[in-house]
Amino acid sequence: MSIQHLRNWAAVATILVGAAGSLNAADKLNVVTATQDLASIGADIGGDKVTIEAIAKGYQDPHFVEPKPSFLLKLKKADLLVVVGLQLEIGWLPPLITQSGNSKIQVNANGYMDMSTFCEILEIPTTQVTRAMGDVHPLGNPHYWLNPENGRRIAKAYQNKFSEMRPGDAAYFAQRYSDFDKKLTDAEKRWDAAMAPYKGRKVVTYHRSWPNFCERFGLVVVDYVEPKPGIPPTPSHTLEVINTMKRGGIKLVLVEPYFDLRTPNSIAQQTGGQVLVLMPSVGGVKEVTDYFQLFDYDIKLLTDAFAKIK
Amino acid sequence: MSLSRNFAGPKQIFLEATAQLFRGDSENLFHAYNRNDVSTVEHLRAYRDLSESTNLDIGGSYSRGHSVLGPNVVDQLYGVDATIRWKPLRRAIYHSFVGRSEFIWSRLSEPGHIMTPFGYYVSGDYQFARRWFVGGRFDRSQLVRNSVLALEQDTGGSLLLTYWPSEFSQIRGQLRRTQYGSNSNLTANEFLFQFLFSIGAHGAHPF
Repeated sequence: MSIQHLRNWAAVATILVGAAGSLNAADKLNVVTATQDLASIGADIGGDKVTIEAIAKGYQDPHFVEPKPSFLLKLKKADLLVVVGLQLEIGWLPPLITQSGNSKIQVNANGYMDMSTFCEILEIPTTQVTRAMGDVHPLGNPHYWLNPENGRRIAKAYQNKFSEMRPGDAAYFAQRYSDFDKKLTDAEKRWDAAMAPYKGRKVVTYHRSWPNFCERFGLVVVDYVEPKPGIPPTPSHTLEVINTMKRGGIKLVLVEPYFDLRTPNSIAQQTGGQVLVLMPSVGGVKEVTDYFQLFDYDIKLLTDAFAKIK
Repeated sequence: MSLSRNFAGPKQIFLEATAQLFRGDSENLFHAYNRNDVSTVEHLRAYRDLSESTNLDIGGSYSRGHSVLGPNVVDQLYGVDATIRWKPLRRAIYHSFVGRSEFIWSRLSEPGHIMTPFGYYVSGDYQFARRWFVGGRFDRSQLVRNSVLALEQDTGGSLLLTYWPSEFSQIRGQLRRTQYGSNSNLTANEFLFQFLFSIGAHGAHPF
């Protein structure tokens, strides 16, 4: 065989390998999630069999995302859309879904996945909800991913969904779920040990973002900076919060990264307390790049602050 | 009748094309003198994110119909528009800016005579607190009053302050100064006050 023949065969082989590679890329599940938390867990389970992208950034208020046309471009080519649900995205996602023209991800289609249906939901109203109550979510509190147990349920739901959509890779997704579950179990032991000395500590939070987190790690939320969910602080309510904190010796105000710090700082100043900007989502700060680092970051902030306060 | 289609263009550009056909009158612009008189509007919009906080919309439009000035006068409008939006994601509920501008060229033609009035506006709205917006707008337009033989030019400017007590209501004050006609001394200073409210469920917000 001449050198020229070998070169020709090498060229053919290169083309075939390249074609197989692009087939593989095309075969990947294209997943779009509403938040970075869902994207992080999805990436852990999907591995290199999925491409996954989030719409809302971890440092923006997920209630108020601008529904930009560039998001439509992502949704148009999605095989699966994963949402937090419980009306968290009601202000921005429905028009994007409709305008995407992608039949696979329309509500109730096979490529639409509401993760809240797999998780334990807190604060489900038992009375009729009206707008006079503020931005109350009538189906329950949507910040459920802040309990690692719900993170585990989300991971399991991903495993099942990916396996259903790509049955040939079911064993791969099962193995990745098993790895995630083990990693989470180990991490929970670490987080529980760190938070154990502070069980029962009382805190004030800006918004009702933390019921799942606080219940899981034994913190008690006694009041909120917002007078009602989604309603900006008022002077009279701020005074009530200050009095509550003084009476109860409460020293920590937990704030999400997208809220103005003026009122929390003023409350902290009046009460000798401290404002802590906790991350409710992956991507809230640069170093929080996945679901595990989210808890590592928040728990370190909290334990450092509690240790200082005594 | 309306047709609209959106699609992905090159370099992450979102394109939207809209074509509309109307029968009937549109105030001060087109008039249907008989059943076959229709007017059309076409718009092509290109949108791109410049960064995660800033995006730009650029559009071009064309419209044609029978002018209100007479059954033999055909009015064609050519327009370009641009909108720039800025909203820092971390503080999206407190600060934002929207700048808009549109330039319109008109071509009024009747047998033996053509006129080309021109108009534009530039506006900006800045949100400086969670519920407060301040804005300004400048308008200039040439128009035909009473006769197709003479163009007049109106110039106006506005300052606006808006307060949103809730997503269902809006209180707005506007100080507007308009000079009517290029050479006239007719100038109007107006203060406009609006209170808008809506009733209904908390709904999704269109972009």
